[in-house]
Amino acid sequence: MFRGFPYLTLGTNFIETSPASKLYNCIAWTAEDDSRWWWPHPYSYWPPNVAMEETREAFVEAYGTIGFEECADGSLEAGFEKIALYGTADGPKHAARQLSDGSWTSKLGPFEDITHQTLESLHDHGLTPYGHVVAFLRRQKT
Amino acid sequence: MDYLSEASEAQVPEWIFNLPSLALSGDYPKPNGQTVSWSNGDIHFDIEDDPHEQLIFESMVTPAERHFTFRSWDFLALDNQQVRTSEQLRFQELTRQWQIECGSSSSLTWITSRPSYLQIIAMGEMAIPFILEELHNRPDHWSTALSAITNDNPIPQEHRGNLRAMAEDWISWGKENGYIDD
Repeated sequence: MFRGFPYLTLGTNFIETSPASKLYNCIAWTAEDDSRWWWPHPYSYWPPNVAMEETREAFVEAYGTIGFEECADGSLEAGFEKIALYGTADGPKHAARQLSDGSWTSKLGPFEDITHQTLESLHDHGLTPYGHVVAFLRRQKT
Repeated sequence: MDYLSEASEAQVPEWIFNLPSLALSGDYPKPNGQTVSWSNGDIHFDIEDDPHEQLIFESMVTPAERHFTFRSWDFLALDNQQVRTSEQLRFQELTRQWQIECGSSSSLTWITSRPSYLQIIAMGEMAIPFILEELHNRPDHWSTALSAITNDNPIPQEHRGNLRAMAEDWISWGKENGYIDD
């Protein structure tokens, strides 16, 4: 088990790719910003003119400000980069960004960045707070 | 004089730190069960509403029977430095617990509503210099607590989310308001 995720096995289905840092979080990491903590909260960065709400809609809207739009799934598509948004009934909890080989990169809250082979390895198994994937988004690679 | 209270089954002294609350009887100021400490075989309780006094009990027995007995008790008057030290130790322990409670969450709403974080806010003005020192050493999500305690907000909009910049904003605020020497 790693960081409370029972299906993460170091060296088998994920690797650490950075030291722990509190300077940015998973949402920032998916937006390729490693200097700020993104969250709809008065002391976090949140894109201007986006609803300050912990809702799926507000997060999709936030990603829309950097060119992402909802798509059907997390399959690897040539010419596109993708984000998977995780959440529970309480709202969004995490996001992962797809890498060019189809694996995913995640920032685990205040901990490390990791590369994980599947989205399911971070799904909620009763021990972790991320819930399940509630939206996929994509934008064209520049 | 004996005083009885429910306790867990763990061994002395570790278990006493986990007491959720104490229901002691007797004619003395109410101890705050959350701030119990252990020193030289004595058990020290901070007293609610009076940080300059601690209630000291000696010689507890029968933890295996899920209760303990205080044989005697006394007061210890603390000077301001001792109070600060006691409160700083409490702050450090609550901060350590807070880090654990946050886990791998990214939700700042979750992070700033953990029980230990709320207890730090409840410490009030006493916590301000400890938080500012912590911010100086390790920028973290202390703006919510500082804002709740001080009813102030020195963070400009363009610094939101930038923990290093926000830490600097609060440290400047601390200097302007006499919590940090220039």
